Amino acid sequence: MSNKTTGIIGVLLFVLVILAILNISIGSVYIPVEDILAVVSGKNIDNSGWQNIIIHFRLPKAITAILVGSGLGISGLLMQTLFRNPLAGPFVLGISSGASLGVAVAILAGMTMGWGLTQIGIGGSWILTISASLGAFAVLFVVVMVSMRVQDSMSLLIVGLMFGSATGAIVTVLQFFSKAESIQAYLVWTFGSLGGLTWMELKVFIPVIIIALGGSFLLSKSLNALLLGDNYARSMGVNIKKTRFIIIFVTSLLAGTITAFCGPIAFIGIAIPHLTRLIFNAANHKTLFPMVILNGAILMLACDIIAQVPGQEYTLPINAVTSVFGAPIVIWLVIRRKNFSKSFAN
Amino acid sequence: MNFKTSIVLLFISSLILFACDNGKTSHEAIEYVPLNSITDIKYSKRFTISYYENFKKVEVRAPWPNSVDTLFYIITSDSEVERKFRNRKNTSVFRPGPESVVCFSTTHLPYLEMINESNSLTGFPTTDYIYSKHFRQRVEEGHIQDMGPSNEINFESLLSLNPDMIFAFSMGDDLSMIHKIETSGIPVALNADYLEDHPLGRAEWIKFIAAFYNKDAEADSIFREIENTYIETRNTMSTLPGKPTVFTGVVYGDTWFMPGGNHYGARFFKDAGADYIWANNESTSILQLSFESVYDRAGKADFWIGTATYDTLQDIKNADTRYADFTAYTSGNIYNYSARMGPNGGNAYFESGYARPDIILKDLAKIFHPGQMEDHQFYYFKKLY
Repeated sequence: MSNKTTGIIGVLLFVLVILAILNISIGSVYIPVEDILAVVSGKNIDNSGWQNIIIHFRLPKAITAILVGSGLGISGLLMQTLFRNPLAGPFVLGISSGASLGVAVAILAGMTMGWGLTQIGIGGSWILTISASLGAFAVLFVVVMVSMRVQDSMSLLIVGLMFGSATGAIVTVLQFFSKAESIQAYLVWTFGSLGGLTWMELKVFIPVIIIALGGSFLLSKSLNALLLGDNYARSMGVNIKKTRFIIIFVTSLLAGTITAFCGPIAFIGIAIPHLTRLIFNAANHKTLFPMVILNGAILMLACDIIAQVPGQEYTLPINAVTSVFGAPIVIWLVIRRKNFSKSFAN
Repeated sequence: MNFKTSIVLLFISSLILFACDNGKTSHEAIEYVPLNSITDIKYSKRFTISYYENFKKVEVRAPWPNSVDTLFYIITSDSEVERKFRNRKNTSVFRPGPESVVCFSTTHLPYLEMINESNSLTGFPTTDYIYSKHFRQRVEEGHIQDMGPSNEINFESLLSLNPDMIFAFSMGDDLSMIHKIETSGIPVALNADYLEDHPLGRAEWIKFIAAFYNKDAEADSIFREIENTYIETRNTMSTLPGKPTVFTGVVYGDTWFMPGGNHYGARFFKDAGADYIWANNESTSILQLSFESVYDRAGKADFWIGTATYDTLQDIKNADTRYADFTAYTSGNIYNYSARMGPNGGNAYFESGYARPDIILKDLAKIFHPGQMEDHQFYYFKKLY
């Protein structure tokens, strides 16, 4: 790793820490910064309500934001490299559609079978998490099966897109026959949520994401080769089928788990790899990986700060913020750097 | 004829149509002089009824959120009057005493039951959602036809049923379905009870429904009784010392939906002798709050009323462990409105609650002031265990 890269990573780390502190400091309820620093460093403060807000609301949300940003960034990067396509993102394989279908079946069809929302629960309940995971992994299973049969990655991309359309259609049919309140519960899930995870859910979420992120690091050499074409990679001694399988598995684990816990978070996965390439002019996955992880975490924390609408009692849905504030940044960068496709392909 | 000419012709003909329309409304309106009212509308801000020699005029103002329109419903058995009003803008004509009606909302049903006209109901969208035992039985016996899902009424079943009129509602300004029904000759009356800010304003819509059956006087006396009970309970509660603090709702995603201080729900808390945490907020709609701000302000509140679909304390804790930190949770003062659920998903609170604010208020008064209302049994609300 060059000195320049180490420098950039150092700066990004610094920004991340600052944003994390800012994220924890800002919320609907005003809490002085010295109290926040005291609680974060493990001390007790006089106001137990504030202490609970910091420990049980803001810290889990900040940790979730960091993991979601990094996880989606990496899965987006993996998909863009696998398909050598700048439009690919973590959800091209139909993972979020699968998760949506799982949730839609649980909420919408579950209602008609007489479960009622009581049994299913709303917000970040375990049943939603489990049905989203089941949906995501069902789609993943089929995609992996297909990936064993087809030779080129483009066919896989098309299969993924078809899955997206098909599951979308089923969800529409389910909505058509559902009661207004269950449609609302489903819609709320699609808005995305970072605040729904408590320490209990984080006990599962943190290890899964960290293991998957670690696994992706091991892929960087094969990924560099893949960027230059399947044939080139093969000549470099990369086992294409095996690598493709691992890439798909890691992506699904990251995107599937994140979607299951937080809902479908738009835009971050597709934008972070581009932002990283454009700003730091990097193409080597060894340097791209840490930068994407840091950038993803930074952008997600920033979006969450905006979603809090600092100083107000109300909040914005995180999914709206990531797209509305994120998309213009990417458009601006792409227009500024006219050689966008060049920076992607080498 | 080329394209340009046809556009010009179309434009001119529409102008002529408009001109005729306006002329008609202005000079015919003065022919009728209102008589003394049989019924006064005291609480509702959305409708009025005026009585003329051989017809009744029901006016519904702003029948959906953010609307500026006023709709006119003429109820008459005089065919001369009918002919005069038939083609006026925003006006529908009804024959009194319909023998076959379709309602689009469960909130319309209790009114029919209260004025003894329940036999006129012949169709309803998704009959599964009906709670009322009486109507359920009529569904079982085949007197009430299912019209399909409420967001997409089965138009063909509706036409073949051919009811005398329809009680509908609209959540927005897309009235295409209503217009389609009216074009086929079935008059539709839009009910806006769900937009009233005062509990008694919602209950007063019994007078609206009754007007179409010429049962205005009955509705008036039924409403007066509900009003008296409500006011009596409110007056008793207002004299009691000590007002427990209360909040409501649950978090959906990252947002906690909380009624504003002037919302229908907030008024109930105030009248039942409780101190609603967001009472000073001036909004009449639902606030969208973050979880932490609710925790901050309501964490120490005495009562938590209306926990959506959660039915037990364990359900609440399973959904989010942070709910268990609320004082209302640890002291077990949590109630929901699911005491009466139908076999297929109907809920009495959402069906007859609008029509019976007196019962809701008594339930709440019993919750907030346990020593009071000893003769009253909980009807809509139940405590979570």
